[in-house]
Amino acid sequence: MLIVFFRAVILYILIVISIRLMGKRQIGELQPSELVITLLLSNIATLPIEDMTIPMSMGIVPIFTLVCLDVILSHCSLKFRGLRKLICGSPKIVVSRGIIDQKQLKDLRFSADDLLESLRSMGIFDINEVQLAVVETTGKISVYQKAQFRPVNNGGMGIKGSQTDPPQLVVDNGRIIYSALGLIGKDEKWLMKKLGEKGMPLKDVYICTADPSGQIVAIRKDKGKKKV
Amino acid sequence: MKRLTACIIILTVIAAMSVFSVFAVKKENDKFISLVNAAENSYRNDDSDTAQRLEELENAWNKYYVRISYIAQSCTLDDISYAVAKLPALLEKGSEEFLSECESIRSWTEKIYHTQYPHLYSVF
Repeated sequence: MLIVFFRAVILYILIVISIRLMGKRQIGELQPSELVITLLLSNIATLPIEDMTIPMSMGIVPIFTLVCLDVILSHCSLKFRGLRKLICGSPKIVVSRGIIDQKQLKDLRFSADDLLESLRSMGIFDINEVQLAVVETTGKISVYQKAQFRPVNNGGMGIKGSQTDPPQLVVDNGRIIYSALGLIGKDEKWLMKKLGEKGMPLKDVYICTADPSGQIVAIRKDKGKKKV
Repeated sequence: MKRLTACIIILTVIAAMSVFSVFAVKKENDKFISLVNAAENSYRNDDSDTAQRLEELENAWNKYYVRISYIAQSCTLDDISYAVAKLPALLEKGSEEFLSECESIRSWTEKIYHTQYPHLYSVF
């Protein structure tokens, strides 16, 4: 039993390292090759845990081999477009100028229901609103609406807003996040001065956000949702 | 780029270790099989040092088991362990099974190497 425990702990750490090695993209959206790797990893990892007769090396070697190959292959596919197309496939247009490409849908084995369901999930209930719809390599459908149905934005209205970055979390539970302070172009001295102005010592701050213009919002620890 | 470098290094290390493991199994096998042969010959010739040879064989097996268990499945190693454990009793009885057990140990040991060696039939 203790051996199983140790093996589970070791493999857990190895899988976490492997997933980190594969990068953030792995967690968010899976390309076909990444999906295969993820499924394989979960399967391989369980073998040495369940079967004590299998040495750990039989789990470790394939896990790292698959992950390393995937990373190397994805780097190669960044350089070579042909390889990327071969591994990930290419986006397919399923609606063009408002007309559904039925052959493409059939090739992709997408039913009309699948298409409408995806459109509905994006808040589009009428197929007439769609100018262009593309099935991405991840299987997700991206839609470009016809001009008359597109939401109005500042650009469309001719409004020029300020090009500032959003606020950053600069203090988390009494600890300064220096990297976030760097992002907004401020330093610890500036932050301490601002907190001093609000009469709030650093150790009492639950969270504090700040933006490049110098505006800060600080919330005190254990005092409910009181905003200072 | 760091990630790519790390992956290339890991992959190279794994490939090198895999190749090394095949040679390591071969080396350990040759050493162990020579001890099995020595014990077998000694038994065949009715030598007085058969018990000593057997002791050497058992010690060598214990070391072999630990080293090879990192690579080979333990069920195969367990089969050899049972056969090695039987040998002293068979020697004491003067049973002919001693020779057949030695043969089994030899073939199982060779099997371990052959399962590790990347033959075309074992890869596909």
